[in-house]
Amino acid sequence: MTTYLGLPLALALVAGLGLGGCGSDRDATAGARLIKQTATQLVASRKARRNPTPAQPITRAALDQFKSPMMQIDVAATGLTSFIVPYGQNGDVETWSSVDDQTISFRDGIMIATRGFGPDIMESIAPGANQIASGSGTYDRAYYYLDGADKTQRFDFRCTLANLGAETITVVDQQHSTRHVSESCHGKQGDFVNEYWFENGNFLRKSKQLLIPAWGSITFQRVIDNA
Amino acid sequence: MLFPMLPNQPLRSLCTAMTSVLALTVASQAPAQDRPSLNFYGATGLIDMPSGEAQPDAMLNITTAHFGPSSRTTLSFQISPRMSASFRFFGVRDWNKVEPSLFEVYYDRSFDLRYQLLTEGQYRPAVTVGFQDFVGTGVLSGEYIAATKHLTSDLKVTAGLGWGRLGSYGGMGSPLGARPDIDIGKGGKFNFGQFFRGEVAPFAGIEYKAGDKWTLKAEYSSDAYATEAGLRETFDRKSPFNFGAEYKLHDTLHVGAYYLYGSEVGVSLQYAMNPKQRPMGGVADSAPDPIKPRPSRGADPDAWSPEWVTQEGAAPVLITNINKRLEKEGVTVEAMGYTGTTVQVRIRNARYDAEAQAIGRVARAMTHVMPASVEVFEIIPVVNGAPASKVTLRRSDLEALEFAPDAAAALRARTTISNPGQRIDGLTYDPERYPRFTWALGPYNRIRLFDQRDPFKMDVGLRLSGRYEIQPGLVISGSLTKKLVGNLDEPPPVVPTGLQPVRSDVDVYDAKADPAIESLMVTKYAYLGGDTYGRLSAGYLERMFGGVSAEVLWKPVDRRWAVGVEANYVAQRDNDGQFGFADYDYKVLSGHVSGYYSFGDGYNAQVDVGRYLAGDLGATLAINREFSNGWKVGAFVTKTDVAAEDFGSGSFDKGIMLEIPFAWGTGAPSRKKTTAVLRPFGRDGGARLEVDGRLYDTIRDYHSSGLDGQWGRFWK
Repeated sequence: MTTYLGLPLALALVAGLGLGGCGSDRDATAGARLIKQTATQLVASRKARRNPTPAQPITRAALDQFKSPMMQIDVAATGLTSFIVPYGQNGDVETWSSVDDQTISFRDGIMIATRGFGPDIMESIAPGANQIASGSGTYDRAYYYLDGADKTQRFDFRCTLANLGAETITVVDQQHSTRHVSESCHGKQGDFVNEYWFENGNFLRKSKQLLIPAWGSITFQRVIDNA
Repeated sequence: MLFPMLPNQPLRSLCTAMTSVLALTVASQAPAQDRPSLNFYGATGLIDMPSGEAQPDAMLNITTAHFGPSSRTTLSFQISPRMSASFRFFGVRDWNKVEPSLFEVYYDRSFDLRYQLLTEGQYRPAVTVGFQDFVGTGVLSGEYIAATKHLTSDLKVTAGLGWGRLGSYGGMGSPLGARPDIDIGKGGKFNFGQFFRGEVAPFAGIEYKAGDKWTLKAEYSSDAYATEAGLRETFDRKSPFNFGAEYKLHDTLHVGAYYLYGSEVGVSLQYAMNPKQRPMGGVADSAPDPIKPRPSRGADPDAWSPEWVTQEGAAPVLITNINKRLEKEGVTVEAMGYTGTTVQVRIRNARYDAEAQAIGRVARAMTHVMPASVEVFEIIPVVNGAPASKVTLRRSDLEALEFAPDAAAALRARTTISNPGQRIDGLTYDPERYPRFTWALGPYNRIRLFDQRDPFKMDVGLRLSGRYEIQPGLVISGSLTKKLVGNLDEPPPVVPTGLQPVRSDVDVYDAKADPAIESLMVTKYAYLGGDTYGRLSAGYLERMFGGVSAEVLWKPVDRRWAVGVEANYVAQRDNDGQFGFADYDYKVLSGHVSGYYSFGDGYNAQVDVGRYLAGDLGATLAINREFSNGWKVGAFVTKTDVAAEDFGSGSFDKGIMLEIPFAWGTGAPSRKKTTAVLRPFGRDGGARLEVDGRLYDTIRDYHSSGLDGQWGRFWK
């Protein structure tokens, strides 16, 4: 006699994954839809990993079609490259959105919240752009995240600024003379370095800012100025 | 040897959830942590022997272990940091090899409880006392005290004393007297009289962590396998020493290979789930609309004028506008009422496992749609068409706190959750909302474990279900099933129980009711004012019964307790799945008074006292631990005035319950969850009507206890 567990497990697999569902009742078909959706995502992500297609770098000519201010974002952890445009404003906080429903909120160009990435920054306590542009000083930073139990977790860091001097950078075919500032932070949940490239005083041309220690940073490049 | 699953509680759903969860967690990154390993019994331990350690709080483990003729599959749960329980199926092949028996394979179930007396300290070992298979036939029964101490971070030693089965080899005498025989009777009795009686024998072992992935184990077993190896000669026990190597495939999945008792090769697979934390961390979801602040009164005084209230037909326009924004969220506003400064919306949440997130998305949409004069948002979640609670928010708080540090806690402090209260004047329903028809066609399956003939039988088929909502809270619903393949049409021999076969005949329904009208009923759900909610259902309520069921629940939104009353007058349906009631000619008045209490930290209890389907009187105690993400693990026991002889195997009804939210496994928002109830014996005593829409669990999601656990998701 064969072991009696293999069979039920195999059958359960077939029953659970092999059959779909349809209808207009979202509750009743939710299970089948979810399984299908996650399977599709898994397959897609595996495929993507196997055949990474390098994103075509965007050209100035392509950007000229757009009239709105725009930033290119690159999330190293997921290989995501996307573009965001201003979407909402609440007091001194500007929220920018990508077409695929990810938003990033900035106070003075400094990222203070994200949505739609998964491990989002719910809120944060961050220095102002002027302070960072000054290139010196030490201060506390804090990020608020939700954990896998939907409980708020606060990550605290101690950060120090350093002025790395003048640097010419290229953002989509255009050269910019910038001042490079780094922000080195350390805390219980890890260490990270944010980088900022300021142009004409404290206009943020490019930056690399932490999303969450486990994922790393998002790189921002301002590709269209205030049009 | 009966183990029927109740028709509405398929094990499949559990398996489905687990397999999809498995696929996903393997692909994801769970936080690394070193958990004590598990033994063949699925208990924290070595190979066949237990250890003094415990699993991390709330860990749920599924272990399947096999050697020679013996197979064990165990579900273990760390109930609290020190207490754990296991529920196990085991089977021994070649049972009739030398001794005659009805069975070629002997199957049984068993239940263990363990308590960690001491946690490990610098010099102190971890010490656990365990009671193995202490209810029922007691084939595996034994007690132990085990101590485990790390010598280095990679090497730990265990020593212990076992009684019963665990004291059957190398005994040192019986300090507490002889072990009395178990009065098995019909099973299901607690074997208190045996505890720590009879021969006591020592056992020991070592465990060495060889690198990140490998663990090596060796032990000296105090189990003589007197029945399996001795009496029935199913294998040859040549040595008390066992050896094994375990490999970590993933943080949640371990496999092991072993050489046991000097003669047999063994394998095991251990799968661990942490109900506390979603394996993928936070839920991944599309971004919400940012809050849209109002223009300042000075800048745009017209926008602040409350005159819009007098406009004819403002409500339908506002409902349309807000639903346009909410379309992608799976949340709908179905009714609205307002004054110049307050808007009340009634919402349905079909998507978010975290009810607070649904409320948050609606609040965000309201900041875009509502005229500036509206300062108070009253959001009333509606379940089955009836209001469940009222969440009152101030728009200026939403505007001010959107990006404030720890915004969730700050907003919660300014949010009121109350009962739905009086309906606001001029409440207008979306004219397109009612009546509404929805339907679904999907697979179903039914599983029967361990009837007298087979350990596992299953049917797979299609279920067509429909739902017609005539007006808010008034629903006609039904479902039809058609079997496609399976082997449930071979019912096991009838074992008379001395009671009306209210549940034991489920195999006859499995065999004969195809196609079947599973249910066809009309239900009215209503908020009755104050803290009171009601339900009235009539029709073919479940597969085996039809009739009338009425329920009233009194549940204050922010209290730990609630009280409910349910009364049912039902008749047993024909077992051909059609409309008749003639086969059984059995009618019964059943019902319960239910008390619910939440102890805090997710521990809940429910007591039901009343009359059960077979006309028996008694009470059910159900205890569960619920996690903020919706996971629920519980156990229940029912004792009624049915004599153990009439009840049959198991003596009284008991079982364990698991509820797993899909969102936990997939990391995407969904309200779907899967429930599995495992009963060692599904019998006729202590059986309850299975009616859809019982109030407590649905209402509670939108009360403080349901909203606060995931309040962080308000801003997600």
